[in-house]
Amino acid sequence: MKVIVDDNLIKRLERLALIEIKDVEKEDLKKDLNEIIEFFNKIDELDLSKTEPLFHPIESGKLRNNVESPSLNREEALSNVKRKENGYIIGPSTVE
Amino acid sequence: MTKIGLEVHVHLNTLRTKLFCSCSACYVGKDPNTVTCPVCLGLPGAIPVLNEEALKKAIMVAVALNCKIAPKLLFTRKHYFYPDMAKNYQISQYDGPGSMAIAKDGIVNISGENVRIRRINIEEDPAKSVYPTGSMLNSNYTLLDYNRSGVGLLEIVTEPDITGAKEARIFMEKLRSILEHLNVCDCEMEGSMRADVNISVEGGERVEVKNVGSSKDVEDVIKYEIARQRAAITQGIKILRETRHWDNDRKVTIPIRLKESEEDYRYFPDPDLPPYEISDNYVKAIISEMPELPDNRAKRFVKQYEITEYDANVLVMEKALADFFEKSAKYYNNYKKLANLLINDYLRWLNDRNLKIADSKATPESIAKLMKMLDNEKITIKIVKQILPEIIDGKDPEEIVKERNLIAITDRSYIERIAREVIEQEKEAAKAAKNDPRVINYLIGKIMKKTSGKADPIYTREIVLQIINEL
Repeated sequence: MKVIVDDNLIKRLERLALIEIKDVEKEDLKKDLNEIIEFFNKIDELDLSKTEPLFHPIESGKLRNNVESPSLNREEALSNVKRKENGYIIGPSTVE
Repeated sequence: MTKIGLEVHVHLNTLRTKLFCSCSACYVGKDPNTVTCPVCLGLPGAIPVLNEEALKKAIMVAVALNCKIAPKLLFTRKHYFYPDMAKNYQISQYDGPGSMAIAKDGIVNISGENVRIRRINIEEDPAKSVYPTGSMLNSNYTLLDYNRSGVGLLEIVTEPDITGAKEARIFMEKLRSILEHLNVCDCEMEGSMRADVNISVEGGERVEVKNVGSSKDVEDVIKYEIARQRAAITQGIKILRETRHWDNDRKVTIPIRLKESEEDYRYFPDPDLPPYEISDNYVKAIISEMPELPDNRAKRFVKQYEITEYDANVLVMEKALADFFEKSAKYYNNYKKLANLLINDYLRWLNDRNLKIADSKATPESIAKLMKMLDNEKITIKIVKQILPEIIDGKDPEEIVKERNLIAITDRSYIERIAREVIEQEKEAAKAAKNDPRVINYLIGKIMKKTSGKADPIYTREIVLQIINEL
């Protein structure tokens, strides 16, 4: 798949990552992206027609028993939270 | 043609722990953010490990819905930004590269019609959002409780095979009964079964109503949407693809515009969760431990208790009712009469008052006693219906009858005396009764009223007919 690094791609990434990219950053980012894509494009040089895609380096995962263990207490759980109200975390509104 | 598809989210709330961590899955009534750990808070570096019991339950549901089960268990990250999901992705399942749903291509039969099941996914529930004003529509911030975050869910998606509001409700009820029989979900718990309803009418695009809380609400949403969409189309207004919200207080749907664009979830295989092979033997072992399913139970009821197919199907639609029927059948062996009482009187009385079977304090023994007193002509059917609410309230039928002297009147001469009194006062009716059976029932009703429902109905009818013939 050919990826073209242009302003449209930067705009799309901006939106998907919900971050604002300044104009000066855009040129640096384009350069980085081109390098990353070029690096991955090396894979295209190989004949992979007989190779199955690999999604996990580990063949088989494990399962856990349905047994409870203690949870964090609230002070610990919320120790990184900046805005709280009555034990809840305050988040943004979710509709326009 | 109207096309309806459902996406039902089922809480795996009979599991002791959450889907990928050892926190308790029982979060209801707990103080906010007291049942969390690094995994369900989405802290960096925390590694999810699947609860084996969740996999077993998902396979049972897949078997019950006649689905094909995936050879491998694979999880996907579904990315979106929303305050209820701290990792910025939900661990879910998806049909795509390196990924597949736990089950696909099923069929559920509802009153003779097939509804195809597109797929079943195992996924984690996000945190619970609480709105300070009580509504998402006018709150300018959200309060988050991560106790629910990471609780196991099954997402069951149908093809758009459902044709109407009533069919959708029956589908939901049947699914609920299957889930209860498999002990996958305690569906009595609030929010344990939620549905996104997709509805399109002829000439319009698909409208999705999100997060509908019960089978009854699903029915109401569909009725409302079909009427709204058809009315709009006849007035030349286009129905475009949109997402709406069900306002349960006003019983209307309203459009919502969600902030996060939904078109690009950037699904990719979750590297934290390597594949797990689901062998045929593993599935066979689960099937061999599976409890009886409602369809099979109904068939057994017809055979074992010789009740009608219709009654059997009504009984198994609610596991608690079917259980109560079987327990009562141990003490009372006129099964047809028993099924009749439970369906037409017991269930209806509870439904009319919005009560659940679990709210009834009646015991199988008390129901059996009640029916035996009727069979022995100690009480009349009128008295049975009259005192049933008190039995549901936990009282003993024999004590009620004794205390309030409700024993049936079988003394023919006494009934005849009352009957003659009534007919004397109702001369016109008595004449009309010669040609009209409905008027006979009217006269019988009058006699019943005079005897507080205690006159034996068969004797009463015989006596009334006899007196009318003499006229």
